[in-house]
Amino acid sequence: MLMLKGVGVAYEGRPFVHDLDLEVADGEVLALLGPSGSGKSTVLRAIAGLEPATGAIAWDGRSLAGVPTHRRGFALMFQDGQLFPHLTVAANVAYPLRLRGMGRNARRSRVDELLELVGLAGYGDRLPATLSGGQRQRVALARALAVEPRLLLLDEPLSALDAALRSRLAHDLRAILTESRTTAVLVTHDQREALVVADRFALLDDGRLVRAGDLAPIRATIPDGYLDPLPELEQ
Amino acid sequence: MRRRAALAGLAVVPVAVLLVFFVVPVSGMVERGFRTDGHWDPVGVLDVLGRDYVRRAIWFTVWTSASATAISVALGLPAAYALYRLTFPGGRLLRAALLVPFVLPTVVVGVAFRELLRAGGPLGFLGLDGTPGAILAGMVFFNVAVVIRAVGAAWESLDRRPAEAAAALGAPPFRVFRTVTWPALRPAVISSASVVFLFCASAFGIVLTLGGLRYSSVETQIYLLTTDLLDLQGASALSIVQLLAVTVLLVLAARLRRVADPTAARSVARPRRPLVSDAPALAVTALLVVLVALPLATLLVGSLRVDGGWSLADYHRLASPGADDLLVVPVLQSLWISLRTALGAMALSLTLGLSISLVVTRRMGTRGERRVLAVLDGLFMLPLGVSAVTLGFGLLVTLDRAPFDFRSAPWLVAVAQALVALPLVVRTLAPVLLGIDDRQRQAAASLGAGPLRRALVVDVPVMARPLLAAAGFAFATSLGEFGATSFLARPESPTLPVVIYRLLGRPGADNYGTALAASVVLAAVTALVVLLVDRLRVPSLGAF
Repeated sequence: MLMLKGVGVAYEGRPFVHDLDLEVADGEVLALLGPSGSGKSTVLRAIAGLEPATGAIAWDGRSLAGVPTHRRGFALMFQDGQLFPHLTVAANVAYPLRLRGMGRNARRSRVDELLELVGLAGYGDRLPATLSGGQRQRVALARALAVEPRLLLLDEPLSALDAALRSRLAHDLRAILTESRTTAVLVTHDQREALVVADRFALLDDGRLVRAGDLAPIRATIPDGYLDPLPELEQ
Repeated sequence: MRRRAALAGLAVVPVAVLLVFFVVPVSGMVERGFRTDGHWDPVGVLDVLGRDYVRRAIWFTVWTSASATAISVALGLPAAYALYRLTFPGGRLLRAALLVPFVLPTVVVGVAFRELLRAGGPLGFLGLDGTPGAILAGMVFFNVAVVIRAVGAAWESLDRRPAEAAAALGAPPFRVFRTVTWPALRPAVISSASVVFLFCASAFGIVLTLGGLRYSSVETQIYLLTTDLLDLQGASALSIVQLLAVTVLLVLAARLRRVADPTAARSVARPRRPLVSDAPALAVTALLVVLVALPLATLLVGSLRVDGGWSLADYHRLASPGADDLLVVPVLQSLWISLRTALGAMALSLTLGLSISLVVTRRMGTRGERRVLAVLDGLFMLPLGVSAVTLGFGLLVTLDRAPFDFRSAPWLVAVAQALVALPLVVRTLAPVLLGIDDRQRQAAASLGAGPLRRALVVDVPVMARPLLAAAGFAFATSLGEFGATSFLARPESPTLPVVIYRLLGRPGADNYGTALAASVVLAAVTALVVLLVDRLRVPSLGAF
């Protein structure tokens, strides 16, 4: 379980996030909502250990202060995926597996499983530059899942994609997170995406938490079909 | 069609200048290697290459250059990281200060290291005086700035997020460096290393002043063969070897540069405050600063010490022509000659460099056109590595017939210096021009701006500072140029580096002291120019 208590982040002395309290239970997906500049990505980076923060950030009651990013056991997926351009798709996905010293055969079969999971079986030998934006994000997701993270941090994972693809991938993302029972924090400015992917939401504005709650009751009030994938445009 | 004609018009002057003042002299030297007593004798070249001292010179050049390059990279990488990715008080000043050695006149560097390493000098106990170690130290001192600049520019503009992504996937810092950062930096490292190797292999002033007659590289061997032994065939045979090696290296460097030009599209990462884990990089940087400051401080102190006491006597002598008629003109007057010549060289190299940069950075339609541009680009880089001695001597021996009898023309020195500075100007300007998005020009055109107006609105504002920076850089380089100038400067109007070298060749504490004082003056002028220029913050400056 992730717990934030009184967390603040400042850039060059100027406070950016104020006194934030948050909790994410195991297996739960929390959506961090808010307009751009509200500090939601900063919070995510603070959880990942990429920004120095004040207050307490703890996992299962143990403080993460002083634990560097690579020892936190979290995985962070960026808006534009940040695949390593000089590595193939398979090598990208295998990157965290190599770090753990997994043997070559085990690695290969795990990579195949993960690519299968994100719907890209058979793409292992391609280079990231030859993929479409949606495919790249799927690879980035597979790579993040390869960590078997205690917590998956998703920073606007679908924002760079067009509307139709975004809505379809949101449903895929939900299915994948549910299937792998991953605890996750999703940063997004798209409320529809939050409604599809997340269980709970927290709304930030100007670095402060304005509202938080369950998404299920809201989903119940939404007309049928509103959250269905949008039709893809003819290419 | 009209565009092509305009480009050809722009290219014709620099190409003509390069042909007359570079290609003809250098090939004139090369041709002499293939002739003995007026007939064609290609075998003679091979004979020369078989000689013992020639093989020794080649081997000496290769191993000293390779070692100096390796040391420069080893010291330059951590310093590039510390100076371009971290922010700490005085960091910017250090960045500028570490560029100074690169433009210091080689003769000055030679004098400073001799003063530092001589018996009784501050580092005399190392016993490095007159050894290859001293030459290596001089080369590293001179070239480490190239690595810092080139790799620093690449590192600074390196997106932080891939490294963060790797860390977020569980990669510890060294692993992040090895798998993410290093592959992104490698082109800049290899490219700067090849340029450093080139500079080391064609280093003249340093090897001559520190190596004396015991150690000679290809470059100083060419000098000795032409001036002392009058063995033109041997000299040109060595020039041919050098020319071939340089061409191969330049082609390689251009290839590598094309892979990733770090200066073209920049997204400068915000530097952060140093952490405990940055201590090793900061320590190397501090060591480097000491290594750079020590010879210069020794030089300054040496010029102020006379007979064990403090005195300005060495500086007073700068105004007098010298006791033994050695100097035709007082040192101060040769400083004026240097400044005037360097100004001329600067104007010329800037004019040529700008038109070359405009031509080679145009986007061209067909493959053939692009190939012509690539060849042009490489051609103008040649002076970077071709022996300045070959150039200087070539100018002397080929420009002796009408209508090209320019040997005694006072501006010939300026032309030679301009050619030596030309690659630096092009390498400063071309990346900036490449970085201008062509769509901005198209947007201006679509709003009704003609070609001149477009240049005024889009190119000129971006180019103003790089032009100024390139001007300062060319000026400082010309001021200290020694290789070609030593051949071409007429006895009655020697430049300051030539005078310093002459003074060093004479016995007597007075002459030596005057040389020290003159070196301090020359170093101060070039350092001042470079420190001013660096305030313009042009990223491609000094990065290749």
